[in-house]
Amino acid sequence: MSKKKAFLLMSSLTLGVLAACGNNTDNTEEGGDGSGDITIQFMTSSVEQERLTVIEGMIDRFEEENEGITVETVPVEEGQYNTNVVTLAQAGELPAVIEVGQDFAKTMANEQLIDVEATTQLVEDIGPQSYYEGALNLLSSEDGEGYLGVPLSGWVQGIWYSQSKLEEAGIEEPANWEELLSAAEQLTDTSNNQYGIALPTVEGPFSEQGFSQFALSNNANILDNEGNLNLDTPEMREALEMYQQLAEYTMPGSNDTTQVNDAFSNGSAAMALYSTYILPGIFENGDPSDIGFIIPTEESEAVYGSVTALTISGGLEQAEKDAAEAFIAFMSEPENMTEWVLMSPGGAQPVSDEVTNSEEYQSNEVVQAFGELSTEIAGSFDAIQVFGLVEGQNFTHMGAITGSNAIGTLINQITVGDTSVDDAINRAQSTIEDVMPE
Amino acid sequence: MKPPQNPTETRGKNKKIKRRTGDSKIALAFLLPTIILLAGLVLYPMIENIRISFFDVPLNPNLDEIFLGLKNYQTVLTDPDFYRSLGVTVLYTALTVVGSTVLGLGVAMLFNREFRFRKLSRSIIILSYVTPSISLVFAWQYMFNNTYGIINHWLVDVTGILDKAPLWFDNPASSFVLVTIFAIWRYFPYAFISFLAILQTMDETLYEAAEIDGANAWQKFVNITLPAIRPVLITIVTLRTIWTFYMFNDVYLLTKQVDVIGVYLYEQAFSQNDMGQAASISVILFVILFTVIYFSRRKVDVANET
Repeated sequence: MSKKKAFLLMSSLTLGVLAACGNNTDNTEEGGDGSGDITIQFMTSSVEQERLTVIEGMIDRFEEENEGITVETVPVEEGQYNTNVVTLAQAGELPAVIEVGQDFAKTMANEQLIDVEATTQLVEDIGPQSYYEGALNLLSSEDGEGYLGVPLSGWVQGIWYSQSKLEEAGIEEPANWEELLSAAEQLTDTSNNQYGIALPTVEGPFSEQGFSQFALSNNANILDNEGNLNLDTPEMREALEMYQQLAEYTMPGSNDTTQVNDAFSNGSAAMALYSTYILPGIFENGDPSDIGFIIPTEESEAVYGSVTALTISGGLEQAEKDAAEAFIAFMSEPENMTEWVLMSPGGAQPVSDEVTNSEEYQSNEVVQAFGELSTEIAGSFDAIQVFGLVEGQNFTHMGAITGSNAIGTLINQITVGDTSVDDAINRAQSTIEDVMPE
Repeated sequence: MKPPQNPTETRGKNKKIKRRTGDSKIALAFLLPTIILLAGLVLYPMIENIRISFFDVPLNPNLDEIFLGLKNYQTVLTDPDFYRSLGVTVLYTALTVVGSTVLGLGVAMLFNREFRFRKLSRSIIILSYVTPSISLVFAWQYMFNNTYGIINHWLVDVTGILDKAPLWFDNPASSFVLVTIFAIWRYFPYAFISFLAILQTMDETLYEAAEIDGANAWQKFVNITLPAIRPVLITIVTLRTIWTFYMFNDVYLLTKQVDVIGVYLYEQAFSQNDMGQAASISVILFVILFTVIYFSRRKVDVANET
């Protein structure tokens, strides 16, 4: 080949590549054949093949019922999820339908990335009364008048205990803080590596979630009803001191989800503060009939809970929005919600009685194994209280407070470290003040 | 970014200046795809990063960015935690780079001879480098677990050296030591492979000659081995310094007690979704690291010439 030819070849190749780059077609736009065909994307954190098969099955049925709409799944691993939403949002390429938890829904709402009008309308159409109130509250918008997403499933967190171990020690199911403390003390025998309760103490969100149940059961919230910081109160101090005392009967060191789950599963802790995701492991390797569930209770009952919801991204074209709404409405039909929940039976919990009472849900072997407990857990959704949700107002800047990790650090300092409650509160206060909106 | 050359324009010119610049033009044409790729993948993100470090950037592209001037830089440079974390990082980087390089070189010299199961042992040595961080971190956390970890089992229950299991990853000092040992253990195979490769190319007769001259092992190392491996050594130290300086995963997954700069960056910026702040931190780090490496390389070059 002559030099000239080589030069021309390379130049045109380069130009060709560049031209191809510019030709990138947008998946969410209407098809060019004028038939009104539309493709929307659905971003989900389910990446396991088994789950994807279930989801694809539901999508196939949806596409059969709704001709002209194609749904493309975008599975993103949990660790990468938030980063992906952030980068896609910055590029203006957010999928039309996104699976979110309530905390991330708040972050997205803060950035005006959610079409709150559309999601609220959907919940209204489906009927807010068909969901557990506690679950739906988690998704309410800051003004309390709309919803940031349509709930599909959820999980709750409380104290799990081994009935046989408590019986052996002659302990009744603890009904308040005092009884819980004395039970934990009685069940602890550190020389034999036996601990009364496996408690989160890690410097992270798990400790914030665990502690929130004690604070809220003593009517102590981080924000007041105007959204101002309300950390240094007598009620909050009592709760912190209670948690500090209780932590004397837990495994030494920073306990994260792995340590708490392990300690309860291998029998070194008789009680554990954990979510319903402890149940699948007990079904596999333990004795489901031996498990009891209690809710931290003092002035009131406080369950920590989380919901998984579908939300619609803002700024869609009308046709995409219609398709997204149709898809979420379809996924919210009781039989589809049941299928979604049963992708991880035991761990994921229904957020609607229509699922809890359905034959398909009740006949699942994991659900059956836990018997009455399953109904008790479903009922506990109404006792959900979370930091930042005050008198029906769901303050979105709670997301920034959780993000600052101030509460997780506070708990770690007073349980694992030897910081006094006073000092720890002061430090947390100054960290939180930095992230509060001006 | 430079626009690609117009082929019709170059075709006309090509004839006249073909003799003199033909080669460099063809070279340029062949390089063009790479240059464009590099500009798109390296230059553009770099400039964009510098640009957004002056802004408060919302996640939603439809909302307005707010120009902050130097405020992001000011926030970082007046934060005492930033300097503390910089100090921790410098110490962590220095120990890790020296430790993993010396260990890698030592093991490579040990392996630079024939023995049985040489290939097998070589593969075992590389294992810690090729296994994903998360599995290694879990293994280490289990080893040092306060209730059922093997280390505490040996130190407390079996040998009785300690009365009580220490909280390895909850104490800043022991956490720092463990995180550094972890990094040295995890990354020395990289130095090991590189050193072994160059050691195997060396001529044995050099050592034989030195022995005849009466050189001892240390003299042979300083006068023969070291000059021969110098280029590899410099590359390894430079690369490992850059990689360790920005380390995040290994440290953050193991413990929350060691605030290296990567962790600081994450906590200050990403958990708050503050991209502008994050960008300003990375620009500052880039300047620091670039300066350090530029001057140390110059010093090395000068030392080489004299």
